[in-house]
Amino acid sequence: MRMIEAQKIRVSFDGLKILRDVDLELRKGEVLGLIGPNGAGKSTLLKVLIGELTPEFGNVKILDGKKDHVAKKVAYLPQGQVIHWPLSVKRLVSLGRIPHLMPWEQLGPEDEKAIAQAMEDTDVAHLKDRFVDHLAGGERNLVLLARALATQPSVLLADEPVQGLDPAHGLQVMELLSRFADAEHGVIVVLHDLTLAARFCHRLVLLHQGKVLASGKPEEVLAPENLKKSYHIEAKYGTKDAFYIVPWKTVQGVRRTAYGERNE
Amino acid sequence: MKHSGIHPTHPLRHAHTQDRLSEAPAWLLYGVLGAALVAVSLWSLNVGPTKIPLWNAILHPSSEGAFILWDIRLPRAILGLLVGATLGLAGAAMQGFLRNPLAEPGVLGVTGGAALGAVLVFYTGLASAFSLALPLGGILGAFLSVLLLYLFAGRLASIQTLILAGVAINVIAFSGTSLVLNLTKDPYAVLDIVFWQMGSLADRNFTHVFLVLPFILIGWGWLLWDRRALDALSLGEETAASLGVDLKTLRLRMILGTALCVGAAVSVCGSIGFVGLVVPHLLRPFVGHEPGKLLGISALGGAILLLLSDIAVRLIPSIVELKLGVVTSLIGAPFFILLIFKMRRKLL
Amino acid sequence: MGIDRRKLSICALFVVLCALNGPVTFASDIKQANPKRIVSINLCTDQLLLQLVGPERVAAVTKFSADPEVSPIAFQVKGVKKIQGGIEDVQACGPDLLVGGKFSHKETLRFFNRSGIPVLTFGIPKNFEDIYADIRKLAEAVGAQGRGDQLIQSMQSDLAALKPGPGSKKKAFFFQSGSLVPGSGTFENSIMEAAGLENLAATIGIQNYGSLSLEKLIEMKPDVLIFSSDQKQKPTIRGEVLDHPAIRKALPHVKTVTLPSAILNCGSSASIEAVQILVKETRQP
Repeated sequence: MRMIEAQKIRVSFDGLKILRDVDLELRKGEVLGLIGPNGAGKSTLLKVLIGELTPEFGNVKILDGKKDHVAKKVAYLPQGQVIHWPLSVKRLVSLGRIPHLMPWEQLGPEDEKAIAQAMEDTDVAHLKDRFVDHLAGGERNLVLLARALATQPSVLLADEPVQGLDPAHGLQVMELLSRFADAEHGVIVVLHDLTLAARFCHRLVLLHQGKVLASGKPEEVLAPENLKKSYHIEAKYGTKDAFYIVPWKTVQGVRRTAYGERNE
Repeated sequence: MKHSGIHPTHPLRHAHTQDRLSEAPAWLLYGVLGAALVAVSLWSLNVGPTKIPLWNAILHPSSEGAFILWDIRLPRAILGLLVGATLGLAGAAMQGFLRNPLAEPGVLGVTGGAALGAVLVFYTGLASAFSLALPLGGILGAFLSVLLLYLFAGRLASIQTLILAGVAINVIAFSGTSLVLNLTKDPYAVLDIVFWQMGSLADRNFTHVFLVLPFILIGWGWLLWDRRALDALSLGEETAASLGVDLKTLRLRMILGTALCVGAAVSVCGSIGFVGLVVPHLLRPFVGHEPGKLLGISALGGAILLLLSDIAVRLIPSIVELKLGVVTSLIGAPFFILLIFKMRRKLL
Repeated sequence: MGIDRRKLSICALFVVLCALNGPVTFASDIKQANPKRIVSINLCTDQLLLQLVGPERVAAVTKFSADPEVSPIAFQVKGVKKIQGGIEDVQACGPDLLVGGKFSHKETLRFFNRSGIPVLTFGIPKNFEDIYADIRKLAEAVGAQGRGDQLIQSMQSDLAALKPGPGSKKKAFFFQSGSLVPGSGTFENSIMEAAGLENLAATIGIQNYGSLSLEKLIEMKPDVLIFSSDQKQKPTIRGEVLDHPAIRKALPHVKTVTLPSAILNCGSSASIEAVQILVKETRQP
């Protein structure tokens, strides 16, 4: 069952083509990894999916499509999240309940339960009275993830949730996302770390210069020719216990592409 | 030992340990502030150049003191409450919306613009012809100021941009007001400038109250409706949108709501500043820095602060009557400077 | 032994300073008893002047004198040149006498004081005696003593006719914008006394102009409330208190009298009219 369907998405900024005829779908129960070099259009695609950016062509269908329903059922974790007020962890996580509350309503027992559950799942319950700006990067990201989970969404869209995290916290986040994507849920996660992507995603979509270069199982998408073409790298592969990949070296004659290409 | 803060745009870096101690449940906050408001209101009714036995005046409606109580002091107290609550609420709302603790209708030029609008309507005789013209003039002036402000500094502007915008709007408003008063036929009208720049609740009557009440209440309604949206904005516009906040209508309600209540309030009481800066700042730790929760109690706090200032105006003996705006500035301006001082590392 | 050099230089300095200040003229020094090009740069002196001389002897008066809202002589000054009151304006009229008020256009008066032209300044009269003194002073300077005496006599007899009989006086406040009331030593006070009213502001000890809170006004229960027409009718914030509903409610039987501002602006013979209005309105048979 498809939770998100996007067809022929086209986005341009100032004549630069950011996304060109991108198709994407998210199925129930899967962790979909969105990968690609810097400037490939991953964050933009995510913004189109969440409805924040309107594509100049193409359509997106999330769940049943109704707007306020979407807010309750889809959670978005943007890149480099800014927190404007020095909130305590518990208060920040409870912000995730906003789609479920009318202006005059207070947090009810349902809400408290969801918040507690989210904090437990992300293992930040012991921090609940600490102030978010006092936390280190790893814990902070977990708290932000807890906020997203507190909404009790069906779909989670996360833009580089492990950026700047140490290996333990990075793994912790990815393990959480895996557990989340069970029978009734789905996750789209933008990742730079190919090792993690291969390890935790059921399917990958590789974007290159705004186009889908490859999509499918990690073993297929992360084939050497794809990596060479998009990232200009070579990797080492392993299959002991499970498929894994480690980026190894850059390929000679690397051209650093800027953000998209002008007018084809 | 403090961890170095992670995200770079967080404005206030003071130690939060005291804050945790001051977080209080809503019922307690509203209870305490509500009781304080009642007490201060009663005090306000009791203060004046003549001594009236309060109970007597209430029980005997045609006694000497009764007219003074009901027709002079009561409208003054009610207006003090309405205007103070408006300024507190609007200040908290602007801070939540702009994600900046320095935002305030006075500092950012909204009260100045409202005063100019009201002055134009008042001295051209429009207000005498059509009494609603006065609050409408104030509202229009406030609306244009807020619009300018949000156009100029809406998208997460830096403190400098915000304050500069406020300075510009204030300068325009002040010059415009002075000009209108200068050009009025009545040579003594220019003396009214003290009222428009410094504010006063003296000798206001019930006509003023009824003139502004509907606008103020509607403005409050629109601002309070967006409590949750302001909370959501703590995480930035993208996340807020994903939480179901319609940013366009939020902006509209913020602009109109602020314009309506601040514009109407200023049109009958003149410019009164700093209430919307001091009150939310003092009360923020009690609600754990959540902007939405701050709205209601800032309204209460603002009403209390303004009524106390108005009591001070009447109690402090002076040869010339002390102006309300002067008292709030005496409290607020040093506060403002202190806040900027605290934030100077970010300003550099 | 010899002339103390220091004393000599001080004297010399004194002489030089006197010379620099120019001639100080007094009314009695004026050689010309019949100035023909008189310039007045103050609304009140305009009025004073035109009661003593015809417009043909007046070279210029202020712009205000032509405004019927503030000047009772608007009709009389038709055809007379109107000026603002600056030095050049006055110079252009070639005056042989300059008349002004002590508190306005001080630069102009100072300038002409140093020239050869006689300058007369008048203060603000606090009562009718002051007005008589002013009339005499100006009459002498323009050679219209007879007319001046006539004027004074007629004012005195008018006032005498308006004198109240025995009996308790009605209590009054003259309530002005910004919650001000004129107390003892003001012209308004003289008008009220001449009309036989007790000025409550003077009674409670206010000298010159003082502020009176609305509450105190109501508490003192005046019989009469006097207003100035401009202040009551033109919209100003400071004037809003004059219309406060509490006044009507707490003092439903108070007699309100609104005097035309034009006859109040200056203490002059027109001010008799103010007394007449007050008497008419407050002294019911």
